[in-house]
Amino acid sequence: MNTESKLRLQSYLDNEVSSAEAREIASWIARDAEAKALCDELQGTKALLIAENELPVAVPDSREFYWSKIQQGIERAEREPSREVVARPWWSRLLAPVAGAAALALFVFTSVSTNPARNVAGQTEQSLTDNSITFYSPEHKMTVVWIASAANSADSGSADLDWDEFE
Amino acid sequence: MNLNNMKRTLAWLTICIVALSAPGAFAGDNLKLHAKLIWGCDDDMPTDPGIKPVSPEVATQLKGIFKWKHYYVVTNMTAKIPDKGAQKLVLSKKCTVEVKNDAHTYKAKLFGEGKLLKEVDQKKVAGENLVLAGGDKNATAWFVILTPQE
Repeated sequence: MNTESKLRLQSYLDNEVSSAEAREIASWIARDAEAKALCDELQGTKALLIAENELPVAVPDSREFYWSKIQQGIERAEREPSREVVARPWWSRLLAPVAGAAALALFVFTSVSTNPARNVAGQTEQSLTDNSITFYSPEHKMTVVWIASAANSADSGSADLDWDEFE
Repeated sequence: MNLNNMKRTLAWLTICIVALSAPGAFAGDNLKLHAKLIWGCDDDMPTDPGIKPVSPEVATQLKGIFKWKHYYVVTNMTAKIPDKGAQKLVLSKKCTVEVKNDAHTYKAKLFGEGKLLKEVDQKKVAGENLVLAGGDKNATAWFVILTPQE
């Protein structure tokens, strides 16, 4: 006896099957000795559990009715028309990039205009008159002047300046 | 008060509010300036007990730009420079910065062993750092950081 048959038998004993299926299972039990033995065992267990005051649980729907509701739900969902993408006017698709470009332009404009002593934010400028590089980091609120010729003078000893040190 | 007078008053009031609330507005024309001489290296803590690591905030700023792992404060001082006045800040035996306070900017002259190395004009914005820096021996570096205060 397979698992499906055992579950059908258990459903029958728990009164979870339709009357037509109950008649069919009762006929099967009468014909099949193995089914009869299992039915007796399950009934004995059920009786024992009731005797131990286990509360009965009422199942609102039969097994078939429960699954039929699920199937109806799936069929209803399949019948519903799929949502169509509403076509937007062509200009509305330009709004996002135009707004982004405007925000970027505003950011650059305000960075430069409020800091006239500096270069454009984040750019590096190399002096033509001396060996220095000027760099501004808006993130760190820092204007850096890297002086090559001062490498051996400001604090101590000599050193070869490597522009890679700026990285 | 007629309409023209009201407009004029409102305009002046607006100008005053904007001027007072502008970033970098300083009390009076004095320049209060923090000056630091910092040494950057990849080695561990130097043995000199007078040299201490920079604050975590400064370390984060420097590490965000430069490659060195450690930064130590050699000198840390604050100067108050009157309008149109100038002051020499001696940061080490070999490193001196002369700062001149103008109306909206300040001029920093960096001297190494008495020799002028760099002259920079910088707008006075509270909290904005001006860093004059260079490489040193043994793959180390020095940094002079000037920061105007409110």
